[in-house]
Amino acid sequence: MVAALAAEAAAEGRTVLAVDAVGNGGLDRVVAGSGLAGRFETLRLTTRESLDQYLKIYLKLPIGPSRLAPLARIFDYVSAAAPGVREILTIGKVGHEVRTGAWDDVIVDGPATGHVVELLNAPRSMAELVPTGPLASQTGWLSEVLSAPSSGVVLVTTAEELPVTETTELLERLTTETATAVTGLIVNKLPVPVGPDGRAEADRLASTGSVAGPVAALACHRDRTAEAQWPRIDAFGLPAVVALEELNDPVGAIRRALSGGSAGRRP
Amino acid sequence: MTTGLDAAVGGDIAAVDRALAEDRIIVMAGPGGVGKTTIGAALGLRAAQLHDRRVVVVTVDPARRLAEALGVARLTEEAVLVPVGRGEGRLWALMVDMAKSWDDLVIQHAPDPETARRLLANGLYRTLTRRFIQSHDYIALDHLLSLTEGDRYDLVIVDTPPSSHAIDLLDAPGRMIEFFESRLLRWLTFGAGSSLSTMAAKPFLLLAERLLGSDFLSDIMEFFTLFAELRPTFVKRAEAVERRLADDETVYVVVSTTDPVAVGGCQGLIDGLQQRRRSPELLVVNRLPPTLGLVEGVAGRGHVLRRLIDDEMVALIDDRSLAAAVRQLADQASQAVLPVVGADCPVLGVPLSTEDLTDLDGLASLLSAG
Repeated sequence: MVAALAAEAAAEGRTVLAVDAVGNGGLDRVVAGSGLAGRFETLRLTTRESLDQYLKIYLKLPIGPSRLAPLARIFDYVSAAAPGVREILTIGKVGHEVRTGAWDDVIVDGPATGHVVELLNAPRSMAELVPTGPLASQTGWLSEVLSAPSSGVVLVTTAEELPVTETTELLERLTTETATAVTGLIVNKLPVPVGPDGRAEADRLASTGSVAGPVAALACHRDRTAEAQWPRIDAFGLPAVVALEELNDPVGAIRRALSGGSAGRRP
Repeated sequence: MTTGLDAAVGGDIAAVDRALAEDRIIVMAGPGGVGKTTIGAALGLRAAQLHDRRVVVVTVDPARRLAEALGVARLTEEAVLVPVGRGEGRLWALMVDMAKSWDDLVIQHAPDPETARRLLANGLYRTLTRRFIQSHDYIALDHLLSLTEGDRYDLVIVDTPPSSHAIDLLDAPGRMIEFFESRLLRWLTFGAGSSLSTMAAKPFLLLAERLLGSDFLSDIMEFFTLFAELRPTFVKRAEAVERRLADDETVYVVVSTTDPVAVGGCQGLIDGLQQRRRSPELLVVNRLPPTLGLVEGVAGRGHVLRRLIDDEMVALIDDRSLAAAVRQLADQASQAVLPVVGADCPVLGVPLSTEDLTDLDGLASLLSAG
């Protein structure tokens, strides 16, 4: 998703930084796999790298502490446990990139549902946890970057019950708990809609024991499941882009949807 | 009539039944989101209904739907009896409360009530046990010990939390021991520490203080000092859990879907088991769509997914929208055609259900369709 957004922005001549905030290398694999390498910059943030970068940028430490193995292990334990340390390092690096002014767009591949709220609230939590010290003094400008009109959250969901429920809960939390605006919605991997004639034919295939019966039934089931979600998706009240599931070219499907191709409208 | 698609459902249900009749401890392993909890419950139900066993299913997932399907209002720390309706067997289900389990362990292992009280109140302890996913891995396995003591249950089925890497699970007790035995703990717990250890801790402390401020740092120090008090008994416990995981009474059921990411995760898990001279007892390929069939691999080793949908099948369909939707499923199937891990064990395919799980019959039918 981030790769597709970044590619579209880059195609419009913008300088783009795509950030893998999860740090598992998933973004780089997608970029390489979809032939987009070199169109925009990517940045992969692991906690240790973020710490090194953070200390270099803000505390002017000469070497990264992750070079010292035992220290790095201690850091793994503490950063996993201490509320907000991991998040502040990640969002701090993102904010730093925004502040350099080197990019027209900084697009962040965020962590899974729920954690993104912690990420966006990291400056605030950090200010509460550590009222003094260098971390606390860094958090003011970061809060400003995150609440600026030029910053926003784009939600991504599929038209399935559980993802839509999670998105509903996330939207509620983002709206009430963070200062960052939710600016858009992407409905991804939509099954191809089946018309009334198609459904009738699927029933016929099933009742005659055709080899195509079970597959046709599955296709109809997927479409009905997706269709049942539209009232809930509409209730978000967000501008939505809809991309069909195209496993042979997932990034292309989203790019076509973003650039207003036929898949960009709700079928 | 038998069609190519009927073969999509299948695998070795006889091997599953042999296992369910004899196993003592089953650890459900696999990447997150593949349906471990549901498959674990379905196995437990089958063992109780068809093999007259007294089974307890331990889940880590507050799955409301599963509770409803089992006919119990809510899963709790206390094992609740599930009315299985047939056979002489019994089925209980319980849900691990991560935070409460840790607190109980601390109370049990602390040298005195005051240490326990201070540790339970420590801020870092609370975040570690409530949010640290590695601590969840450990605590789920810790239940193995208490539930297999005594003869209340014939079979214990343990569901495991969604680790980022399924293989982490196998290492959880070892990591817990390493944590307690590590120099890091000794560094950070001065009190009786030598001046040398204080020196060694210095870079960390300087860094931590600059980064976190002194209040939080004192929380950290208190936590490590108190936790060190639990060390002797806790290490013994973790070692017992580790032995339990490695002994022959414990078998592993690995669950995957046809999703390439899930298959990759399972591959890592099976490799990890084999490094420990173990092999999964059963591989479950869950949510197998009717576009894919499970066929035995070369020379009976491993299984592969075969695409059961082709252009001919698409050509049978007249309506354009239905044909396009089926074509989409065909693409999906072509993406999923990859070997399902070279596990030298029986494989069971559980078909993708187009109905919601609502009751015990639905749960039972998941496996019986094989």
